[in-house]
Amino acid sequence: MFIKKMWLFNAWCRIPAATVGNQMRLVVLLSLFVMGCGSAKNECGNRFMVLWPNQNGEYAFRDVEFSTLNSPYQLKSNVAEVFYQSTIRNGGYQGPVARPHLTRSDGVCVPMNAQSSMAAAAYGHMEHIYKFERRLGVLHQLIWPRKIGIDILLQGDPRDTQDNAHYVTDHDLIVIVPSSRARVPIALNPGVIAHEHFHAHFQRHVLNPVKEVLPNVRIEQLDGANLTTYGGVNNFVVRAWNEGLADFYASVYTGRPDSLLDSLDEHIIRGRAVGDLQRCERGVRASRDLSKPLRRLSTTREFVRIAHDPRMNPTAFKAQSYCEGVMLARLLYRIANEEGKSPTAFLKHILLQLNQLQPLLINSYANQVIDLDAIVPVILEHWPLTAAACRDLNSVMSQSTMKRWGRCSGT
Amino acid sequence: MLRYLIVLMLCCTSWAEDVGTSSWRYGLGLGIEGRAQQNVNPDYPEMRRPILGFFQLQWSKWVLQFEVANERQKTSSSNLKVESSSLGLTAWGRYQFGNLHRWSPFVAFGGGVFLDRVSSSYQSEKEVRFGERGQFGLGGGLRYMFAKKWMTEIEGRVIGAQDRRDPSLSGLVRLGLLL
Repeated sequence: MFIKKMWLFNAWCRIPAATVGNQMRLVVLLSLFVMGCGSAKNECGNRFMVLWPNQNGEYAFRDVEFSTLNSPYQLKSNVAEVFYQSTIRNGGYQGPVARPHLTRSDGVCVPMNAQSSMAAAAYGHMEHIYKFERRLGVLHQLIWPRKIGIDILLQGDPRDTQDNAHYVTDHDLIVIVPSSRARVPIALNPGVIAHEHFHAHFQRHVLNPVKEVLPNVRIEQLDGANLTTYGGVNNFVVRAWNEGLADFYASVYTGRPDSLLDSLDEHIIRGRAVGDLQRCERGVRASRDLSKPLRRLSTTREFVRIAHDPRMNPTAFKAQSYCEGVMLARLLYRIANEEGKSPTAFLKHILLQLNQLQPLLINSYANQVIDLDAIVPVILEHWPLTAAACRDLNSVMSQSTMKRWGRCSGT
Repeated sequence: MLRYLIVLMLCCTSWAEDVGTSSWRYGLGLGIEGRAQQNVNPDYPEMRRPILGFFQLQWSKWVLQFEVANERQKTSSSNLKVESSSLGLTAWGRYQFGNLHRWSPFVAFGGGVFLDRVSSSYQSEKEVRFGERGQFGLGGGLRYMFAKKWMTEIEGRVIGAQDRRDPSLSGLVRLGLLL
């Protein structure tokens, strides 16, 4: 409007073009005109062109609306904050949130480099998780906005610093490290982001309350854990639960049992397991797909025997822990997707039951090795079980646990 | 801020002086810009060095300059690849001080638009979009005339762009003919 007024003012003056002063006016007005062309509309709106999967897991460039963003040029809102290559210190990510480089194309924000594209997509997935949990009615379970970092540079084992994602318990944030070999960059995979997001639920409603009661317990520690102690082995039991539930959460959120496999390939995770010692399926495509057949959880005796084998070490035992978690996740996936059942309702039930794991851990952590299948009666309490579910439970859990539980005694 | 600057420049037309050259002159040449701009992480600047061409219209101490610059960038993460190219079209109005035949400092004000082409690809998927971004800026520099018609200029600019909260700083070097 201001520019239009200046145009009208000078047109009205009709000053002859002979004087230097008026030619200078021409110079200024021409500059204004050019600037006016460029700055006619200052925002590209909240629709982004990002690499986004459909319900079948097929990735394509789609226009997606991010309704919770205040500005497309700053990935921050009351839902999520996205950071790019930021350091982690003093309680969280340091520095400002990510500012994607965008151009405006027919009312859509188009990222101009891969980094901006990933940062924008990560925000979009966090927004979708927020809306998912709002529909479930479990928003109150966590503190929002959630914080997620992209291309975060870490030091350590290359299997942890490349093509991977982590939940940092101390700072309650999600870390996505650089992707180089993953088919779908980790930051673009909604299954991976949902998996890491679930860890925040487990941390807040299981691990943190237990740590308050047992302050000397380092329940999250795997590397360097003493496998000759009850607590050391229980850390891996708890990790198996955490990972299994996270895989299940991701499957319900994405609607797919194998969403993680888009970003996990054989060459990425090779080398963690210790040969035939462990009860793990060969290959990631076999092990992280929740639609694969059910397998029995290790009994406590089996789990302890693996832990105490001279060839075992905490790093390799971690792989066993993940394997057990996937077996748990497959069981939950099967129960959730029974005919006539609602996976989202089942997931909501589990999320609201998490805090019931606290007494089990507090009472048993230092006194005995906790059964891997001990979690099942707790999270399935008050959930109606069909005959098919009981058959699945009998095939995965130990007879002793099923007998003590008694829920499926008639089948 | 922008409005006040425009009003100030318009008011200054009343006091413009004729320094003895009353005919139009035309200049053209090439230049290179070194620009420090915000990265996706704003704490880390990134350097861009586009080559540009320029055309000038000069009347007395006033110059209208048009610039064309082209930038390209290729980035990737795993199978996601993004190639972008931007054609920058800008117009600058500036005022030269002092003796125009040798050294003359100047101040400039102007802006324009980036015309962008972004090609995003993932495995067999490819998407090409065309977009635009506005920019404006302030500059100041020094021109040196030699061999009657040749000119070389250095200029520093502060540029505000549509997709950056903080302004970018750039330095330019130009070489051309003033006819």
